[in-house]
Amino acid sequence: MFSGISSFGGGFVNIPQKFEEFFRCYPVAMMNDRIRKDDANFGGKIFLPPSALSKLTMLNVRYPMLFELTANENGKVTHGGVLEFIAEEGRAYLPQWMMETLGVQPGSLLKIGSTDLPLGQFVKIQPQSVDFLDITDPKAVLENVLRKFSTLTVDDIIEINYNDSLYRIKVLEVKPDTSSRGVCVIETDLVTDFAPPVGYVEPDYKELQKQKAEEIRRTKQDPSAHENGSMSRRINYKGMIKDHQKIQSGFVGDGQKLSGKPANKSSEPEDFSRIKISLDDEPLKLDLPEGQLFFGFPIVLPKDSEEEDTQINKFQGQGQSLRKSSKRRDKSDHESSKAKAPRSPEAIEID
Amino acid sequence: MILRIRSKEGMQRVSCDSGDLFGTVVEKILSHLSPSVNPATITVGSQESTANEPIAGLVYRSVADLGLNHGDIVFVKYQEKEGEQPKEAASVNINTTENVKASIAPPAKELQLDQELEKEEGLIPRKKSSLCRHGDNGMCEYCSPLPPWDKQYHEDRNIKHISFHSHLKQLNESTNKATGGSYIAPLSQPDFRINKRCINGHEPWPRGICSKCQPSAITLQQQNFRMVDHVEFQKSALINEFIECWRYTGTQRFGYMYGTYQRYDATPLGVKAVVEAIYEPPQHDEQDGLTMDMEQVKEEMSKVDQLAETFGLFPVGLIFTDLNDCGAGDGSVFCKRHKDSFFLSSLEVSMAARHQLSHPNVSKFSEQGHYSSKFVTCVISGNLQNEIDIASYQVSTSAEALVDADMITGSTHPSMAFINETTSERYVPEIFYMKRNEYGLTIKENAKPAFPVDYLLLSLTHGFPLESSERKPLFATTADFPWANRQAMGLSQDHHELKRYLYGAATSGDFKELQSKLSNFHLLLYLHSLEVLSPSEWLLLVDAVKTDEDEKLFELISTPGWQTLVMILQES
Repeated sequence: MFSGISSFGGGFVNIPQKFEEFFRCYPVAMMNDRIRKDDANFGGKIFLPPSALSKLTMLNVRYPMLFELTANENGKVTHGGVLEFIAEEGRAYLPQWMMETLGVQPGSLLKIGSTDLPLGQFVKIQPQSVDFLDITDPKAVLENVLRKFSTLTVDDIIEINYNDSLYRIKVLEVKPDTSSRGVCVIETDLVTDFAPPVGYVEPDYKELQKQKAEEIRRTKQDPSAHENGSMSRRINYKGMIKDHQKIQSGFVGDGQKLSGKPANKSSEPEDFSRIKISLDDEPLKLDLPEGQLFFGFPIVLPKDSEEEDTQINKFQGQGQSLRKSSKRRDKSDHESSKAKAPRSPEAIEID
Repeated sequence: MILRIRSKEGMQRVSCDSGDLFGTVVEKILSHLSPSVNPATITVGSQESTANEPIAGLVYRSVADLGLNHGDIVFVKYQEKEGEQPKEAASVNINTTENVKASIAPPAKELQLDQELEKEEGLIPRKKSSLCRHGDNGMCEYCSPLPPWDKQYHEDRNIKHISFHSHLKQLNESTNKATGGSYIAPLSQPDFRINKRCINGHEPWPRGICSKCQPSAITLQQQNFRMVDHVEFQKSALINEFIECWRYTGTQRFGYMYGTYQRYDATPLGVKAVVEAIYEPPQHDEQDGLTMDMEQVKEEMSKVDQLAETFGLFPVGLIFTDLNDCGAGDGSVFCKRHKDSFFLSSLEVSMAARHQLSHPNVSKFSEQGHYSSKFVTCVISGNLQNEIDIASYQVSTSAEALVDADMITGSTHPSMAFINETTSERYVPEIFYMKRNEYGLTIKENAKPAFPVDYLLLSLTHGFPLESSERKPLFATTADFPWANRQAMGLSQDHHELKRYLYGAATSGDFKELQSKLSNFHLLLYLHSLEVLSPSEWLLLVDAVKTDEDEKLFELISTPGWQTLVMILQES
């Protein structure tokens, strides 16, 4: 039988015959669950019905089988390989990106014809979002994902799946540049060039640096980081204040359990370095020997002068007296009676 | 009958009978006088001027025989035994106070500057104002010169405190000149200690107390004058080199400033401290504090003081850093000391007060012969712009007295001073301060247990000399040779460093360079400690540095001591 075919086709060997047929196209997602292959969505290959295979085997087509897909409605063209011949008759299943590139709806009519494409040498691609820049090794990723593609056509926006996220990449330019505007990428060395991703803005590096410095300034200006010096630990400054606060709280002592187990689980000594101390409480005696100075007090940063201005006097207005003259002595009289007493300045101000 | 005994300790009453021997009266007198009286030197008389009759010849005569009647005054003179330690426990404290005063060893004379300022009137001249209605040669109340303590003048120029001499003149005006009576010393160093030598006939504190020996209640007020108005650092390199220690190690640093006091013209009768050098005593530095062994420091500083005196310098103040880097990478530091937190912490106020007490200011206008101190305290910390800045302070006389009486200690809140409780050693009276409460009324607040130290502070201005000022810094070089006590920074003063610093200049024959290299406080101190130069050669070196003349230097170079030094450098 084999020899028969060969003798039959002997006259056509060098004339590639063209397969061409119309299919209704559907996305891969609409395939029957038993046969669906999700990763086919992120490749350049389509599903065709078994009848197509029998036709193709009868024809003299160049391998690998490459197809030209033409949308019947708008005439958009792309290319693709074939993955399996398991689709229902009259249907072709396409990856999602291919449906979008062709601009067709599920169920649209699609002309699929076998074609012949040159081996690609160069391709220029453009990621469709800046996320692509987050990939540390784009070369390895591309090598891996392009394995699932057999053709690339200009204006294709292919979709690849890497690390659970979707990246869309547009093909801008291919070489050799033929009329079909597509290349075959099987078994070839492809020089790849990247165009800046869509939405990518060249950052203003100076501005960036300034922002960074500002951020460091903001984050590092945490004065409490300086509160745990060696002398502070030695004289147990924080412990002193903390103990006093505890005593003041009025609720001291531990609970007891009838089981005999300690009631308080966290009986381990506290880490004073993490305690935030405030100076709102009463001062305590800090008796250091002569010749010893301590600077590890909690740092109080100066208030911005703007903040002070915003303090609003909430209770305004004046009192009224129903009587016309008050029998009480005037306010000024009251003041003058005290005038002899030594008076400290209204506010102590030291610069 | 009662006899009145008048001695330099005051008037005492002695009861006796007319038949008693005078010797028994003398014994009673002695029990009233301090135990350091040498009985052999006691002389008596009926007039103060004639009280020079030795008692030896009188002790066996009776009181009536001497012609003494009820109420007569006997004048007593005596001399005190030297170095005698009293045996009675009650009077131990008397002598400790005297010992303290002796150990301070005040320079006998007032500063030249004080004598000059005191002679001046310091009047503030005024120009003819728009209210004047007289000719150019006339003068009226609107254009007559103001007294140096004029409040409005100081307010206009934003001077927070009047100068000491203005204050003194103001006081003297009211106490002495106005009354025309006998002279009363206008100043008196406040003393808040309980008098343990009370003569009111009760046992001393803590077993007895009376209204006379008990210190009266203290009301704290901000002092309106300051002893020094301005601190001038002769070279900015001085401060830079001092901060270098923090820059290298991140730990704080303490130093004593050496210099002189000069006139300060920006305030009437003002005084400024001119800092020529900083000496860092041995200390243990940490990021959030520093510790010094005061015994060791005092010993070392007394040596440095002596050497500094040969250059005409004396300790004028102390300086320390309190710096914390912001971490912004641009050298900015935290602003820790401002009006919302504190300026000097209570610990630092105590330290400043102690130093002021040990460096008293001699003043003949004070009852005690000394009054307050010209010792200043400088802090290097971040200012409101987060830049490294200097702030200078003094503490008031009441702070000195509070510390002297051991009434205050530091507290966990830097802006508050803690008041000690009364013990058998000290009696702490009521302490009040005046403040404005939340209703805007001035109230007197009891200061216990703590009060804001702002009441004890005086702020000073500081600066660097103008370019135009003709006063040259005494020392030409501050940095190159390592400062003393900087081993923690990895710098030590040794032969190796000395050779690196001095050998080139000493052998090159460039006298200008040698002169400027020798003119270095720390190098000179180190050279002195080497003891290569004989005392006379040392004085020659000091002269060469001070006078800036080449001849002294030529003379020095030809001395054997200098030759030895060069030899040592060559060999090391």
